[in-house]
Amino acid sequence: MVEARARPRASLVERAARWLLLTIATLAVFAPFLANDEPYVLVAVDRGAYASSYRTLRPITAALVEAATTERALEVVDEEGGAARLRIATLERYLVPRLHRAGADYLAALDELERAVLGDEAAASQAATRLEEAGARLRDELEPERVAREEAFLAAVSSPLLRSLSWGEITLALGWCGLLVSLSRPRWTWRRRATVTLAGLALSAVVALVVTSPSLQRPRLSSLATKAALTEGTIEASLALFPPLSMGYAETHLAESYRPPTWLRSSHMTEEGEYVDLGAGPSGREGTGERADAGGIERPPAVPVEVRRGEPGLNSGLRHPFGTDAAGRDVLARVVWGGRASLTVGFLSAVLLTLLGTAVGALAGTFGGRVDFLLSRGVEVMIAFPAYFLVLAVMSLVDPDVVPPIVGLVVVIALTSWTGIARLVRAEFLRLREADFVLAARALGYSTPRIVLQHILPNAFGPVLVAFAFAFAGGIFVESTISFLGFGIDRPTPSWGALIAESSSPATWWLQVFPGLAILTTVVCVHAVGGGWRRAYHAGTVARVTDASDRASHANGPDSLTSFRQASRAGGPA
Amino acid sequence: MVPTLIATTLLTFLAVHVAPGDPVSAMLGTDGEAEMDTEALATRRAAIEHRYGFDRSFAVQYLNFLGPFNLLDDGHPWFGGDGRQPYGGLFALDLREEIQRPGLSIASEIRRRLSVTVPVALSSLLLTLVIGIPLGVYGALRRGRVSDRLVTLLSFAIFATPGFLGAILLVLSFGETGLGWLPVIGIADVDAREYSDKERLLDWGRHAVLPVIALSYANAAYLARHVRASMSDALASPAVRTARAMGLSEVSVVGKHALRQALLPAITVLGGMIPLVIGGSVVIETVFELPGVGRYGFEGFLRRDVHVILSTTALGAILTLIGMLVTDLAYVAADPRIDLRARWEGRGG
Repeated sequence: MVEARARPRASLVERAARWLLLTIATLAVFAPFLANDEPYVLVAVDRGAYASSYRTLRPITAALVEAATTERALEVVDEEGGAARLRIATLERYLVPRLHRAGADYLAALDELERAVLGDEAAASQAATRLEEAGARLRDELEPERVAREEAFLAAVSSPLLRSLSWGEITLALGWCGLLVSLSRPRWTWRRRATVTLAGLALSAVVALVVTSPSLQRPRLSSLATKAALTEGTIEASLALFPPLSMGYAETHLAESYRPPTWLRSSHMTEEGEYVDLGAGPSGREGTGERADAGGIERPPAVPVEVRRGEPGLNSGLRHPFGTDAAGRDVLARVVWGGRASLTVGFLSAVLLTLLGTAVGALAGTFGGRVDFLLSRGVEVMIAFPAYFLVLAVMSLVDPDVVPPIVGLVVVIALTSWTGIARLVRAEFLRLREADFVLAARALGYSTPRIVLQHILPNAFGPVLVAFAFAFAGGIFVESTISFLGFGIDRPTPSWGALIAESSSPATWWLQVFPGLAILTTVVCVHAVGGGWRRAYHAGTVARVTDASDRASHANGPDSLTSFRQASRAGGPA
Repeated sequence: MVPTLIATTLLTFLAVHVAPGDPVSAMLGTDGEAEMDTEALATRRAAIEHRYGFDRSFAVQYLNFLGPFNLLDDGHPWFGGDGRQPYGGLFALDLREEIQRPGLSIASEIRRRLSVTVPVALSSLLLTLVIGIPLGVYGALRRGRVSDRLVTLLSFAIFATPGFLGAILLVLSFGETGLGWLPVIGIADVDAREYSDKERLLDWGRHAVLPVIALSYANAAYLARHVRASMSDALASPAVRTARAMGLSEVSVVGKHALRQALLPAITVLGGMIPLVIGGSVVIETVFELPGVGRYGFEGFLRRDVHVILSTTALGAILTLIGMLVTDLAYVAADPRIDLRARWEGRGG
């Protein structure tokens, strides 16, 4: 039985906070789709890949022919045959259909060879000769310069961005879409939303498995990133559609290191890499052409800046809206990516500590007596602990290669800050234990686990949810602080706290201010949402009582109020 | 209190032990010396482990850390030592020496650094009170008006700013490259030794302003929210209504009758802040490079020096417990309804 509650309308601030929080989380989830240096869609001829396939096919053919009559034939044909097929596939991908003939002949010869090596030697040598002939014809017909002269190249459509994603990324993105859809249906109950979201997640996991399966993936032959290859001309594109933030989180532009936000006048540069507005801000000494010593940061001497295809212009405000760091990486892209680590740690640690705190509180509240005494003393010990010391002590000793920092942080944060929820749940249990409906359940002869799980726990859900929200904020707080101090997450993607720690010089204020704003906005939003839930819960418990037998349990003692306040402080030290 | 202290140190000890990671290999620096003779390395490793007692059982190590007896080879004859240094450990007020810098006594190092941390922490608590209480009372008196809403909103945003971020923003705005008003590094000028007493105090003050603010602002905002709530309750209470009915002046009603009621919960809140101030000192002292205990702990974390880590963490717990005891006493002093003896026994401490 769950106490019925009226749901008061959320205030404007709360609704705004919800939207903002959802936006931040969505940005973090879709980071690979928003801040990436690979294009969504690329219609292009990869000249580099074509040329290297063409070039490497010759030694492969030679190896095949040579090995055909030897003892290792089977092994070599198996290995090199695959490599040859791969090269033919790459060549045919960028060719008009009328030139596919040579490749088809080659493949037919290869098939024959594969069959022949199982049989007698004479057949094998015959097949090898045929393969050699097919190879020679192919070399002649598909020679890159000749194909270019005949204008026989065909642009192939591909999506370098999608293929660079892992299975987990695709699942996450699709699953998140499911969540967004379920949230956009105001009439749905929360149970239905949860079901839809989980089902969507399972479905997207399957889809992602299929999409990323090796059989559907064409291997890459060009080692260059698409953007660099486009600029160098090894890829000729008729269409390249880039994400809104064309900078990847790990993309470096050394010529643009420590560049201030590009919407500022002081960041305007010439193509030679010198700041136009010398004198003001972190520009260099006049006349020397050196960009050095701006409040303690060392800049390399001016290097010509290369604007690659797909990037905003050199002095466009959108080029680096949040500036760049020491290696010339775009801070905005890093902030968008960094949110993933921060939000993940915040969320998972909140989940873990909520479970832990609820379990301890429920045990203490259900059994009372000696169990309660022991658990309460344990809670007192944990409260007396300056949590940062413990978290830092553990994180400094943990080897990041053995335990990933993200896991370590989640566990340590959860283990040090579950006390608030434990006290809260215990108080709720003590209150609900006396409620009439529990008495009724007991009179019906229900077992204690059934009463606890089915009657008391669902009624304690409201305050636990509120405390969960504050624990989420607290987790982000602690994670950013620990990462700031250098014991948390800094690779491969930095978290917000680690981003702030990258520079301590006030001259590069953008490195600290923008990630800081991200943390601040998120924490404020979480607090606002949690506060709204708390108001909704309180208003609900006092306002409408539908079940007369519950009435006694609605008196909210001062105890539960203070425990809320303490919960709001749980895990959120200054 | 002693049981809590023992439980806390046990917990720290346990955490340091369970944490996957090996202090000895960090100390040997095995990462860089892969080619070194493995046998010689093993011998050296065993020697170090034996010297610091890492090869003993967990219980012996913990009891050795706790003291007052030294249980290692040079320890008390009762426990098989040669008696060169019979006492040691937490209860002997001897925290051993640093592992990474042998010969440096941790106890004296901590004593030196406490003189930085304690004044800053106390000033921070004072500032919290001085800002938080008036702000909360103001909010309660102006409840629902624009100014109250503004203060509430502001304190909300301030409360949500992590300490290190606030500290950095303070450095950015008041440090050299900002307004240039205050020093942002260290607790005293380099040549502070030559100053007179008065100058030295002023110098300390100038250096301490930003760290103290950084350490207090979130707590002040939190306290203000709390005082506002309890003051609102107090203003609506029958006692205050009676006082008004008896014709007492508004100043007397608010300042004497309502405030007294409202401050009782505030003391509890203040007690809860002590671990936060001490924990926060790690962060603040690192940002402002204050040579305090928090910074010392941070250096210990960086060097993975187990002795320093254990000592500073235990010290943090002790300071917190002392703070909580003082809070309890203050509570008793402020609330005449509480019988000291009953409360003391009730806590079982």
